[in-house]
Amino acid sequence: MTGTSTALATVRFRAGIGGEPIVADMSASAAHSFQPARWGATIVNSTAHPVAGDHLGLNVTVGVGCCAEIRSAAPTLARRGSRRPPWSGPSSSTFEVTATVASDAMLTWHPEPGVAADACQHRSDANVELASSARLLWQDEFLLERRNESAPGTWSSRLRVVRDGWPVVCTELAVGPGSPLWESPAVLEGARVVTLVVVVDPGQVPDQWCSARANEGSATGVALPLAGPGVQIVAWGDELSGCRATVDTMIEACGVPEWAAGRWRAARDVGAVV
Amino acid sequence: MSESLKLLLADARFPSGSPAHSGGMEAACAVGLVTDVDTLRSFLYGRLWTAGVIGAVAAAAVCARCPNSASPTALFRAVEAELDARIPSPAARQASREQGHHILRLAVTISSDPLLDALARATVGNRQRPHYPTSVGVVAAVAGCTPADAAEAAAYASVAGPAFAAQTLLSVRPEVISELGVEMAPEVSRLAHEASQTSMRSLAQMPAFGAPALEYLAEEHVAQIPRSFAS
Repeated sequence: MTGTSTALATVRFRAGIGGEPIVADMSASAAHSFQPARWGATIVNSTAHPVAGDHLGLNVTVGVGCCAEIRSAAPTLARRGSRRPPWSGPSSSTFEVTATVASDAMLTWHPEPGVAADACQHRSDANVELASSARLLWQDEFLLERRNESAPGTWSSRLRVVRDGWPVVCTELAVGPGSPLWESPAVLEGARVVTLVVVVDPGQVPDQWCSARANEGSATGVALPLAGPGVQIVAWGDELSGCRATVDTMIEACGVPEWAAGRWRAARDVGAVV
Repeated sequence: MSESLKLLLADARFPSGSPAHSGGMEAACAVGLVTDVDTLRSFLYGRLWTAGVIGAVAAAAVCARCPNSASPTALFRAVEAELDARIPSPAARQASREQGHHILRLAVTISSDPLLDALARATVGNRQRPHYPTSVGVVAAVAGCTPADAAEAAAYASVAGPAFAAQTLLSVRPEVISELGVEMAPEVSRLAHEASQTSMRSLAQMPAFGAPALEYLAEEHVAQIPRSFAS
């Protein structure tokens, strides 16, 4: 199971009574399958992926008026791959997510964290397209595995959210020695863990978003009202729990609407401890 | 000709308002993130390869496209939206717009090129001021500079302002700052060259390297009183 692969899994939701998500269509890949639930679907990820050379993809569509959540069964562990000697060519793995959210629909994306292990070079790239009335809660957490026996990996993550054809968020963050900027005091100060949360809600009064800063334990965080109707929250530090506590504090302070704050708390509490 | 214009555009005494901005350096010194030459160097490289790259690529893209653009106004609006999406901090967006406004206002008094009017219409009409990289790109194009020149001016500005601010804030000798400048110069030029190579790619694919600590510092700075710099 350590062979590399190119694989795409898709899921499409349509609205049932009261916006309840109904899986209209889904297909699994070698690396991912979906397990439908009352609130949306759980991604079941294969523990064999991603390894270097893997190019994995997920495609999510949320139909008009539908309110769907995506969770994952386990953290994503990116590795270089045990059968792969360091001199055997390109050693990166990629994971591309595309999500389309239709009018009056809502997507909550909160998978378990990504873990960079075993000198991996992993790149995750998410593109989200929102209709002008769509709402979004996007959570992206990634961290370096804390083990001394192997060289640490590098995890980089890019998120682009487009609403009604116009970009709302476009950002790229990376942890690990493969990123030349990671240790700079202007960037991430060499933090082991990053938690990124983006909320877009066009129904919110623009003045209600406000900026906030917080420190919990070793973690530092900042909540930033976007030029569009939303907020970007980033926390970075040495512990996942510290980053999540920092996000908790900022979510209270930066005007995030209750639907998003409640979902963030629910997801955080069921989350695995890495 | 274009070389001297580039020097003028990047000169600290050019009234672009940039010497008033420390680009997060004042807050970085206040919270103890930058305390000596080593942390200063690391801070400046981090700024160069995040905010600096974003600014350089946007300035090169504007400079390369606007002279032949069928609708400069649409181009400017698209670039402004891409910059807004890449600068999540409201304080940093405002600092970028203040500097962009100064440059455009200055250019309008010197030249009557229709591209400058188009930028004013695309932004002022929208009750906004243009972002710094957009203004630099247009002014460079109007002045006959290349996209690489525009990128170099933007990349240089992303670190020169904070470096000179650090001289005052850390009370270091001017020679130390100049030495750092000499050390970083080839990196600034290389970055500008790479930025100009990618200037005709789709705007959506422009680099988007985030710097959460810089964004934190930009917001921290607004809350900090007293302060000697505008950002």
